[in-house]
Amino acid sequence: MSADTLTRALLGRHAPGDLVAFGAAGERTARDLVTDAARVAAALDDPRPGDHVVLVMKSDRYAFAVAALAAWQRGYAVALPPNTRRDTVGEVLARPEARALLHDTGAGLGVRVPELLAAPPADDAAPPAFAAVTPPEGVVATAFTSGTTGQATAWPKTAGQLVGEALALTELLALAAGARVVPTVGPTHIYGLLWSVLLPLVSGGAFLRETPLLPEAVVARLVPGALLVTVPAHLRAFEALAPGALAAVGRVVTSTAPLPAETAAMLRERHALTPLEVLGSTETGGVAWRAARDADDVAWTPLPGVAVAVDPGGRLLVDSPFVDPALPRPYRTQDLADLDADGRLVHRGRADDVVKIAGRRVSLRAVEATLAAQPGVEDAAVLAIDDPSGRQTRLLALAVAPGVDAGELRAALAATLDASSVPRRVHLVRELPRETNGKLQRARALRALGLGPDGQPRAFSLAWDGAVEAPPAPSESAERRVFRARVPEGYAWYDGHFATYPVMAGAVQLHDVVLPCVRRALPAAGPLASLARVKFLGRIAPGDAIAVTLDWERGQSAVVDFTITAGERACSSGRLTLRAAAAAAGEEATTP
Amino acid sequence: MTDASLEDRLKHLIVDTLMLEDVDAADIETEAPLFVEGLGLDSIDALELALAIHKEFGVRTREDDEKNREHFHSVKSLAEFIRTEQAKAAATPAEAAPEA
Repeated sequence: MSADTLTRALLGRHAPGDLVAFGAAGERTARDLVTDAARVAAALDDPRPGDHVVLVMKSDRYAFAVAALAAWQRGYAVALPPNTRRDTVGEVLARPEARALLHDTGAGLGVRVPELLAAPPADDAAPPAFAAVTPPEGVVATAFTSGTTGQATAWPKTAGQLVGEALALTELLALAAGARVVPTVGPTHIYGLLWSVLLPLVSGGAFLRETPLLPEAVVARLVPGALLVTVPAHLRAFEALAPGALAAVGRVVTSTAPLPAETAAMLRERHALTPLEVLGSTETGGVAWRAARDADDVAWTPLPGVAVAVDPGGRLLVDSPFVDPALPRPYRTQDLADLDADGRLVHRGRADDVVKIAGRRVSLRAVEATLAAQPGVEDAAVLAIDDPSGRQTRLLALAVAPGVDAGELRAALAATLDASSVPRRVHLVRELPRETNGKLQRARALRALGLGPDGQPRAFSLAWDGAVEAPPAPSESAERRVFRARVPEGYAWYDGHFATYPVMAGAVQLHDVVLPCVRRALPAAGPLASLARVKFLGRIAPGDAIAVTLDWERGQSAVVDFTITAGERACSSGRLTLRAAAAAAGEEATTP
Repeated sequence: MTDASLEDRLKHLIVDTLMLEDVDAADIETEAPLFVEGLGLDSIDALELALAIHKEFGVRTREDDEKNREHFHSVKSLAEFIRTEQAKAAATPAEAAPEA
């Protein structure tokens, strides 16, 4: 590239008449792309070193490619804001290196690319040819990620990184000229830029101009043998398609988050597709790939040109031409991994507080800091739990904020944070469960949200059937009350007791099953004084319908015999002695 | 099916599918935009909702993303879309083998 132009590197495999773009908006050839790029380039001033053109191109991938190529031909890099929100774009535009704006929005500033392209070409002369020399180490694109705190982070990429990776991917996929790429992701982040624009160009193929999202829309845009470039959350929705609807798909590539086994199985069984998954990050570029044919095959193979190792702390080390040149080599990632005997890597999660939500990296601490910074918030905690939807991870927040409305708090976060980073739920509490050193007690925090340690909903009390006729008491002088309830599958107090064989602890049976019944039967009874003859005879399992029978002698309600049965099975029995009912005034204070 | 409750069913489906635990289904306004403003949902939510609507009502999204955006604008537009699709399905003889 040093003695070449980026344009030649990108279009070297195309003859002038070869397609670079197709779709509902019409076909475009390599010649069109070069000509159109020159027309847009003519609307740009000469750059100073390091100058960027901000691209806000929402609808047409061809227009995006024209704008990017125009900037590169003039020697600019392109700046890609993470979304088209006015404040986000404004923040990128306010940076000193942001010299110009090319866009397809209704905004009244910058250059509107669709207008330029719609204008008839000047027929007096060929457009001026610009061909800036782009050295491999020159930055050609800076992608911004929406920092969870609202502060955008800049990720500069050099020509060597991006074109090098596009070439490596061409090799990995053995893409021949004429490949057709159908993306469900836009071009304005590194993954989309690389896979939906640069890869089709470098390999001599073409991309779809539109970005279909919903399943039927994707099907409508397929061409035979298409390389579908997508993400797991989009693939999950293909479940709604009839078998065979994706017959035109040649191959599927997915990245940004691991493909859930369930989605992989659905694609295999319903659509006979095995996606190629690519592991990578903004810092490292692509690292490794896999095409898991079964759920056990979880190891990743390094991409061509990538060397991986694992440091003594279990952290993945990456060295490749695609790693940010400003970073030390090998680059020590925040990913935990093992290497198998074949040099393939098995991913073991993250070493930091970053979670992936629908493929976006979100820092829990940053969300927490944003929540804590809201007016009226005294303390805040953000928790990530597994989510069965395409989002894969869900954020929940706890806040101490007297007098503040939880809904307003969530709305305030939605105004600042990227949509994916906004906690699904903001729950107000009087105090956060913290260790003395300030560390959050996760299990107790989840309990405050009505969830068990696995993030699944829990029932914290049993729903007693009050309208149960009591069987006859054993004698004339005896009183008997019976309470019935079904123990729910997600009963909170099974947590921590034999995950594979849930047993209800004796203390739970007494405190959370028997005593609440005693309080109902004898509202005036005092606190528990002693226990006698307590026997735990059989297990109470989730789903059991249990009955609690309470017997006492009339006039002697301080001594109550209890039995818990599940159907015919006796589970436990014993005798409770209750303190004499406290004086009416003190009752509330002594009732547990 | 009682058609009057389709909007209510959709509201519950939205809350359940997207796990909007703070949101009471009854508080979702029938005509309010679901995405960007309103509930502040994003494209992943749209996909999840499309999948849930397919499972619940047997209705598939359209080929045209612009049209899909219109259908997914609000509970009202979604309900209209589902009613239209279901009426179409009822008018078209099923592809299943004819009765002997």
